[in-house]
Amino acid sequence: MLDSILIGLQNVFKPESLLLIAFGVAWGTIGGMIPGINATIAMALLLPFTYSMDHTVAVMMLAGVYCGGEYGGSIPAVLIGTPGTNAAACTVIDGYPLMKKGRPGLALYTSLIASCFGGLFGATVLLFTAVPLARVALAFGPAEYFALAFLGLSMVCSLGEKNVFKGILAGFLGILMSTIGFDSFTGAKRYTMGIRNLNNGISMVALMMGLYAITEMFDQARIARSGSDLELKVEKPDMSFPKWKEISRLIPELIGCSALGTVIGVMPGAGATAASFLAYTEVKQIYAKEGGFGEGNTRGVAAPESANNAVTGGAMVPLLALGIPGSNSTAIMLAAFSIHNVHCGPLLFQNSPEVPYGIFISLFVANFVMFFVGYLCIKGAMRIVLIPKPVLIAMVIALVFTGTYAYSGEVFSMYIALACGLIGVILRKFEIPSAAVVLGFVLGSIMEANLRRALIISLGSYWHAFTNSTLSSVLLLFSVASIVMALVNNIRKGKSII
Amino acid sequence: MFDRTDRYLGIVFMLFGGVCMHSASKWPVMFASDPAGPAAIPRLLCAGIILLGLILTVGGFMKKEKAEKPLITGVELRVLAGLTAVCIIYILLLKPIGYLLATPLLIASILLICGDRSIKRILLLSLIGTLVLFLLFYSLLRVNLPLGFMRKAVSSVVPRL
Repeated sequence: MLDSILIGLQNVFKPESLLLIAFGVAWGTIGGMIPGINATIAMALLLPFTYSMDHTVAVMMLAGVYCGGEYGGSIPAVLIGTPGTNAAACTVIDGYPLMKKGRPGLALYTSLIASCFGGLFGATVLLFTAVPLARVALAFGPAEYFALAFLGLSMVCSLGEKNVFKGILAGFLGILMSTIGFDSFTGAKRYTMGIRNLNNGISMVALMMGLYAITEMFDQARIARSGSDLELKVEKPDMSFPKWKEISRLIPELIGCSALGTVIGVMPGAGATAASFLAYTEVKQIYAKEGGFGEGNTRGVAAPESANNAVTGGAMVPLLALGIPGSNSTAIMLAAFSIHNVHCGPLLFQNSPEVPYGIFISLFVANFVMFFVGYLCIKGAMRIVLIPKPVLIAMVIALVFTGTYAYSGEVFSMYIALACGLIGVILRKFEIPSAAVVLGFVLGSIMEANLRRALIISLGSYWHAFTNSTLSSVLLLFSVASIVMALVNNIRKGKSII
Repeated sequence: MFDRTDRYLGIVFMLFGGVCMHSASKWPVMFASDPAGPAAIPRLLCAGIILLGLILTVGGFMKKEKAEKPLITGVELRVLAGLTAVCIIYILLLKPIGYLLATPLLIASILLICGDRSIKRILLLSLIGTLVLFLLFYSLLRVNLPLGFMRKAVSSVVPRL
């Protein structure tokens, strides 16, 4: 393995490779910062330019875009409450309140440090355990995927701060929204109301843009006009780098969430969005006594950011070791491999070790470069907090509609974003957590598809579907325990049922 | 834990759950090999939504104290209605008149709704803002934004990277 690592080092530490990795990170970060342009689109835009490149260098550059893209989404999430990428939606929950409290520096630098930490953690795990981890991914069948998604969904209880029932209700609403469109098993149309544009379901980008950005901007406009905060400008925002004490307290959760992100990255189909929400809800439960979640707790920024960047390392495992792209971004990488006639799979490690190990090392470099690129982007982007709110509201709404259109190419998705924005305003009025709707939407489709697959395998027996596997049984038990704990905690807090 | 307004919310969700449940009952099970069928999860969710709606309704009715402030004031409602109307008009106009004309109108209208009264600033911001967004998405990211009747003119003048 040492020989392979040395070959990887040789490939990465060439001026051409280093320059292109740095360019990739910068391109990805900027792409991630623009709502509607995620890491996948940023990578796809660069794909045609890789034709004339050496295949290892091309994929290393795309790995840089992938890392930068996953991080970049957190910058607008903190500054304007608009997630640049789906995975950054979770960062809005605590990052944006920190900005409103006048501490954008703390939120942005925490997210940068957590992202770099997560990325480096994922790359380290990948370097030493890529092939065994690929076997773990294969051990996950439909029953295990269902149980994992159910465990994630059980966390919606903890998102309903004041009323656990509202958290569950929001989660159910999110899952129900994920069922809209063609049923992937039978082709039956579900809740499309005869609207053809709904046949393919609701776009996640439109949903996120609506529930987070449009809701927030409408709310800001409402506050501005009702006279309670005419200027709506943050007073003397603190843009300084956080103190070591503020960062060191996050180390245990950075390690835990990065490990969670890496494992989720290894599993095809789960993705960075699911990882960030799972990490957030887990951390929220673990540090429940500390409180302050949803009001600007830095743990709520560090958890999703470390998890979604750790996914980048994990996602390489099924791609390189098995030839299975687990996400859209890794599918673009597979396309780059195909262009250069490189075949992914177990033999890649034997026949062309410079490719996988070059990518592993490039992930390290990309995450170090990301720190500096991110630092510069933050310095520039932080000026946003000084923009008068009416201007910001108008520009963000225009940006959200443009980004939503750019992602889908359909005007209809803009209606979806607007509708979701209005739903978000109503949910906020009734103190229903919109994060639980998003969590339900993200995990709902994974849960339903795998439940039905598991039932097909067990010939319709619900009992056999989940008790035949120890892993799924354990995960389901954890889920039940989590729901019971959340209910008990909610009632014990002194908030009587009535 | 509950507010008085939760009673209305609960009733709305019970009705919503009932309608969705009724809709799901019409979906046929097409393949014997798919034991759950397309309606299993939606039905389960609808039942859950109805039950939770009932809990909220009962909880809301048992809450005696009135809320300190109204759910929404007249001014707030007007702002929300205004913004919604502006956004709907923007989406409707986007294809016929194109991005370059519709977006400045959107930005200017939102600025007016938010209380900005400086015509000079509104004009400047709406034009510069539109231009920046257009160049970013159209020229740099090569997104085919709707250009309406200006398509030919714009595509021959504005370069794409």
